[in-house]
Amino acid sequence: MKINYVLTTVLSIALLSFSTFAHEPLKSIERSATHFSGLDTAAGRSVLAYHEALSNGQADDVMSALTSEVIILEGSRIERSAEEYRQHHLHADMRFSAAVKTTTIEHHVRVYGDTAVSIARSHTLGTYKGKQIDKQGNETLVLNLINGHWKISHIHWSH
Amino acid sequence: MTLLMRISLVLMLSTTTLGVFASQADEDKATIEEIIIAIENGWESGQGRPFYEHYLDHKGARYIESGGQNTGLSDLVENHVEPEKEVLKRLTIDILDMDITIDDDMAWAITTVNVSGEVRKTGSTFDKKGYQTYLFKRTSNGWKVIHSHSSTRDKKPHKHH
Repeated sequence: MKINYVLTTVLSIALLSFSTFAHEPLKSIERSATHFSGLDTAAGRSVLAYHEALSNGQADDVMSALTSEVIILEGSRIERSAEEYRQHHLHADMRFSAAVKTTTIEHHVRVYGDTAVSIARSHTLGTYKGKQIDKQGNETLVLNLINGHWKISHIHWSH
Repeated sequence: MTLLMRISLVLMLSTTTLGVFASQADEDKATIEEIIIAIENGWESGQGRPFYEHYLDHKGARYIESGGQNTGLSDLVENHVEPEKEVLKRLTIDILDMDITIDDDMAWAITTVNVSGEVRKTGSTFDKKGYQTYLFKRTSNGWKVIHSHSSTRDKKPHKHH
């Protein structure tokens, strides 16, 4: 191996490392102040499909929208995988969603490379297990682009 | 150069490169951890400075706390962080656990927290447990919070809905 080949190798690795750590200039990440944005993106459509599956009781579609290692937070409870969610709260959440009417008040989806963030606010009205439900809820989702499909890797619900 | 020397050189360069990547990830996580601790201190002391320093002040930003939200950084600081100091005689946020995931120039962190305090006017106290989600974006000025969501419940057994 000649010395210039060694130097080329070292420089290539150095440049690769540099480009990995180099940062894009800060760009504006907000387009408008409307209540709905980014829903027409692939990530946005994935979120809407997930919401629809949850409302319609389509457990398989809900599960396929999640990564296997999804972390789900609701209030003070945590579930650390899709399987744990399926076993514990998925069916209760679907029954609840089917029993009440939830209206989305505000929903924004933004894509940052292979990561997307969905932030939604909703109003839920109805009766469930004899209790009147009238509450505002918030949802944060983190999605990752995996093999060309947007999958939900984190959910945080609160009300 | 012998074959053995070539293999050794390639291995040495690979190890060095992997080490750089690993140390970069560790450094990022340490930075994010420090930011979260600074923000929690900001909540406790009612100081807006850590928020102005570590949050990305972007139009349309949403910061959620249980049922409500603040829109924009100044709304968060002026209508939530600072007034809370006046309302609460004491606010203590204990971080029990922190889980940070980094994906290129994005990162998200989940913290498990105990939140306790005392209301100045009534003297009533609260003691809650819950979670916080912080979303970060790497910018030319370092990691910045682009969204946060926290939810807590009184410390009592959870009932399914």
